[in-house]
Amino acid sequence: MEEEVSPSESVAHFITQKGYYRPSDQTVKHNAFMPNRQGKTSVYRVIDLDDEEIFEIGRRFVADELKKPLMGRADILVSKILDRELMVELDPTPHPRHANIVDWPEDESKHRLIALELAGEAELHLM
Amino acid sequence: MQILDHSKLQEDEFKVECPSLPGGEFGRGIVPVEDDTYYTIVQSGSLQVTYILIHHEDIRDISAQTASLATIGTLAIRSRPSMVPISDIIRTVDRSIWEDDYSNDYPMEVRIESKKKEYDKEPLYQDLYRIYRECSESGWDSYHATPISERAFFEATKLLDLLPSDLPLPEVAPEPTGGIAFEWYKGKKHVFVISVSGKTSVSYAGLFGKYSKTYGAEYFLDELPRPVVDNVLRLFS
Repeated sequence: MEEEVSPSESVAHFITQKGYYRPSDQTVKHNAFMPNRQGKTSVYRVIDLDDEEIFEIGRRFVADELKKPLMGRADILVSKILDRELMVELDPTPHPRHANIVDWPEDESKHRLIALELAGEAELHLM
Repeated sequence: MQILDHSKLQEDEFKVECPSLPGGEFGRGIVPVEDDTYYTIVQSGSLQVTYILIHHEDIRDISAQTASLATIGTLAIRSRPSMVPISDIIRTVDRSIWEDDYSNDYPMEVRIESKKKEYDKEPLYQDLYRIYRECSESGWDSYHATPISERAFFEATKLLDLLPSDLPLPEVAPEPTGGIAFEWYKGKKHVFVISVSGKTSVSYAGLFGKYSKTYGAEYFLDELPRPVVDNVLRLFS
């Protein structure tokens, strides 16, 4: 795995909440990509991993922390994130593949719009 | 509000016989369901509440059961007269003191038959309460999410109250910033979302096809901001 995140690779946001996706048409909701109060949206690089390996990361490092089942993940191409003038910044805690979507605009009301757009570009993978 | 057959009930179980909710004790008294068919009556001696559903056409059909504060809270929210603020109905329970109570239960499903369209919102009140309960601890999504505050919950409930009944119903969902979002969805590129977080404002964003989008924030206290209604109508026009 390259040290630099490539625009052509995908990152995944793991989902432990029913309210983060729409079962009706298997799509991702905006809240999956909304940044937290620290201005970060947590994601994991999934390049060179198969489905089971990806979900194993989600189970161990996301769902188990909450003692909740992992429901799925939202995959998105890094280029779609960069298109919105955001960055993917490596943050190898709690896992070497962990990263954050950062550089969200100061105007918080714009976060929701960008999150809607990212969700529209994302691909839902349910367990 | 009229109790049809007092003889079926213990006299001291009831303190009021009017539709207004009691101002003081949580859950004590009568909670009328605004429907011609059913009345819901609650009595609370402690945090464990006895809840009785009466079918007024068949008064013999009375069954009492224990319910949680959450259930009673849900009933109270649904049934409150419009002049009673929600903050006067729901009161914070200090869970550290009442660890053994029933307040960790989810609201009980209560079916209310009615032709009134207003009752279409009922599942949303339940969803709001569930979201509040599930997401009121810090880090609820394991990504350092901000807890959903009581103020955010009340504000979301007020917003739901104010949604015109002729608008399509939204879905509600938590946001990691401590907000509660209402989403109207037609497709990935046709979606409108508003959010409240207890700060007397509504933040909104929407996609209306490939090129049209909007976002912003409006003051929100007692009236639904016009851009909210306009953008929902725009989405479904």
